[in-house]
Amino acid sequence: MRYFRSMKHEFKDGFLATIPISFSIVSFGLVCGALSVQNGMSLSELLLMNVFVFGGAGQFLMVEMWDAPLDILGISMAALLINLRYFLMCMALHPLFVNSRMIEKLAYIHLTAEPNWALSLSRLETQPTSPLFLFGGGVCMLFAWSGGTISGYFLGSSLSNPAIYGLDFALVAMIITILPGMYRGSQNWLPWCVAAVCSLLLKQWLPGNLYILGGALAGSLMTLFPHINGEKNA
Amino acid sequence: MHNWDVVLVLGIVTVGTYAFKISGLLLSDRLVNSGKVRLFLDSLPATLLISLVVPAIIEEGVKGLLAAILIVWCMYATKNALVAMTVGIVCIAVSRQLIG
Repeated sequence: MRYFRSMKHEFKDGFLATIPISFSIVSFGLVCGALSVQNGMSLSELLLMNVFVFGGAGQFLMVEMWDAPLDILGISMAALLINLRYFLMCMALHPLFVNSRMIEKLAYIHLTAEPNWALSLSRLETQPTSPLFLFGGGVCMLFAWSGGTISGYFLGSSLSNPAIYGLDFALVAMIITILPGMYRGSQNWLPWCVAAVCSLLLKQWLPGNLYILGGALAGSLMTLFPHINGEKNA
Repeated sequence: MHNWDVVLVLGIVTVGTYAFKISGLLLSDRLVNSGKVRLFLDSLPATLLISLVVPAIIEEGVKGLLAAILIVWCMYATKNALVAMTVGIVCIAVSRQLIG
């Protein structure tokens, strides 16, 4: 069986590991909160969205489209399209939940977004990691995002653009630090290159962020060709 | 705008997003016993991350490439992700000020 330091530690470790990226999350929360005031969203609507929708990109889009009369179908479909990537992302979380009960899966999967997802999978490369690590990261992000959006809601649009400080690059920077640890050898070359090329091409043609889904699918499908993973099967 | 409209939008997006997440996880539990699917699933974290970062780096142009190289180098030299991440962000911020 896998050994975890302890459940309490797992939660704390996840929470602490997510603090660095949370600076970027707060800064975007500020912008999102300010924008929500401009577009006539109430504080309670904003808070409900923070807790239930949980996903920065989807929420940004919803706030941007928030206008009376509410385009129910338009907003819902656009936000779900943005969030479709979570399907594939959560498929990849299988090793994290391998010893979990159904109730844990149902509870902990909700607070999944890119930062804690990437940190959990990266940690899993080097040590046993429980879903509580993911959840701890999710709670940290929820605090950061809510703190940011609520502050932005009251401070308004006097805030400057996070891009000036390069904070929009924080998630990308974090992922670049993680990727080398996921390299297994030459069998990774084809899937990784195909993912890179396809995501670049698909970004030109597909709406929203569907290119992430398309690129990852194309890249990972390459592993199904047996001659490529010969050494891994052995 | 009508209160029920708000509840409906938030409800649809909440249920839909949660359904994506939980169905992805439960589906992979079912599929993982097949050897080929396991290879596919094992490769997903990296290909998802690559599909997320490569277009973002290329869109940023020379600044993005420079930052990416610096981050990898820092990671190699210091083995500290936080330092590497900070260097990357500062590199982007400074180069945006200088190059525009």
